Amino acid sequence: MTSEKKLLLFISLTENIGSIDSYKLSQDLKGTEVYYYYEKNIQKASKFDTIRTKKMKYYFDNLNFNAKNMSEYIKEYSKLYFLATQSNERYYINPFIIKEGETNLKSLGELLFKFDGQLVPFNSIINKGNYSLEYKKLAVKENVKTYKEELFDMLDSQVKKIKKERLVKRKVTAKNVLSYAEFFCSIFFSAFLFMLFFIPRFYESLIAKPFSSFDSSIIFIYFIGLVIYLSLYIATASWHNRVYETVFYARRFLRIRHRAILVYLEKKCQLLEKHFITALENKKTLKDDIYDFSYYDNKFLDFDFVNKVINNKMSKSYTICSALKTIFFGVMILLTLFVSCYLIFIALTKGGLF
Amino acid sequence: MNIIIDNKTYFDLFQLGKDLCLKPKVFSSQLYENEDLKRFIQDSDALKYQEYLKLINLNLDKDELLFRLAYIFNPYQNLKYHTYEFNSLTDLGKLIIQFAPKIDVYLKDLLTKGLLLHYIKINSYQINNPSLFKKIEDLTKLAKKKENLAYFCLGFSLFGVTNVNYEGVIYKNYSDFVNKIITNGYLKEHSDELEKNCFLFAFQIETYGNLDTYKRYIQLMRMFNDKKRRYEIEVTHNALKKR
Repeated sequence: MTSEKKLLLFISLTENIGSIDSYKLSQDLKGTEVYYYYEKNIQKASKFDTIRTKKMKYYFDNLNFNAKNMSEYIKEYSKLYFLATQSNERYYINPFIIKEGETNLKSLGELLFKFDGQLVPFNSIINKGNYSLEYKKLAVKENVKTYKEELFDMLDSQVKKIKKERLVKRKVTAKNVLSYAEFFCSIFFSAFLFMLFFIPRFYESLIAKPFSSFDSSIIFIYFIGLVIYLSLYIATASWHNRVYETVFYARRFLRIRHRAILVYLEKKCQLLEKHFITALENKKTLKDDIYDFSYYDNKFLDFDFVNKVINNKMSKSYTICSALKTIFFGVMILLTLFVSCYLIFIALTKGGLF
Repeated sequence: MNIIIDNKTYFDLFQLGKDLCLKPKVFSSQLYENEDLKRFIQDSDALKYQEYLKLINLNLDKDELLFRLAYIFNPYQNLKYHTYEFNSLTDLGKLIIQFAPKIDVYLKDLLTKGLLLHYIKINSYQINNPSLFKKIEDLTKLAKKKENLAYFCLGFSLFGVTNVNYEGVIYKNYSDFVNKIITNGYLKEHSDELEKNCFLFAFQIETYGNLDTYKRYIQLMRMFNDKKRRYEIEVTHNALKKR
């Protein structure tokens, strides 16, 4: 901070200086290097859905740069430095909830532990002389408990999401009502075409050459429109089911293996605690073991992937296909209306359809 | 019994004491090298000669030695130091403020070396003017940690906080000063200097008569600097790891 700002702060503590635009100064904090560093770290942390990262995201989203005076500006600036310091991955990485390549940390020993009122890397606790082994073990237990709570909290919320997600759409919502309406409309369009066969003038047009008369043209266009629409409808429905298969599988898996998952994870927590305590007892710093306790195992589900699907991270192609289907739905409504009007016209002018 | 130094004859220590601080270049070498002068001091007053010897052995800075000796030989004279002579302490304060933003090292020495405190003790200020005595005593302690701040606080407390002359411009009071230096751009151009010399801080402290605002400011800056330092350590740590 420049000398000018420091002196303005000092002056503002007793004098009313109208010329200082503290609000603009605090808005300018968004352009500082520290803010950029903080923002980058939060983006990285957002990939992890843990209690600590959610808190970090909350603090970031609630940053208010609207200082009314220099004193508030300094407090905001200090807060920014503080939050930026604590946004480094050493502060929030959970050894259980981490995949290969997701962190620059190499060892569990780099993680920051709460120890005697401070946050210190685990490796530095090992050789601290003024503390008993029992005290250090207690610190390990407390910190592993934090990791365990985060792990089970994350699993709990994901399991709830999977169970809540009504993919078969049993709940009646506006979206569901539209999809039901669409389904019955598809049947109606097909039935409408089928019905046209029983009107003699259209039956003759059906077997006549396309576009040889007005009636044969209408029938042909309607038929082609219906084929395209039904194809798109079937394609998007199949695609949707294929993408959500992971979620269907997750739900079935959970019903059967829920207890087994909990037992497995509990054991992993105990192993992690033992790993730290062994390092303390042998006074050996930890190296290259950051991924050793990750719960992402081929034996079990990757709930992270399920999460992505539930958050509707569908592909672009599906979105385009779905949009085309909606357009053709509209086209079919118009065509059906047009043909209906034509039938009414014929009935009124020619004295009947049959 | 007399002695001639720099073409002036001194008949007693009282007379000699008056000139010690006003002619530092002359007396600083004489006191160490001139055997006649030493004999003169010894013959004039044996007790004062013993005190002179004690001071010589302390290896003090020459100006400080001359000052202390001057008030041993003549405790009733005006405040004098390194060619400066003040009829009153107010004059000292006026000179400090007049020199601002520059800091005169000799005037600062009066505070940082405890010479001014020594002077007011000799002149019984603790009885005659206890509030000023306490003020100077406190400023002497402050000078151990914050020399510049104590220096200008001394200037303001002796001279006053109204009609202050700063770089040739007279300011009515502290409010007038801060409003003008902000609006005329002086603060922006000279902020580093103002921060370093503590003139602004001293002006505010002596105007309001307490250190509350200054302490609050220091607290805020300490908090900010602490957070900033921890951030910088974290960033450096990350940079080293990446290598």
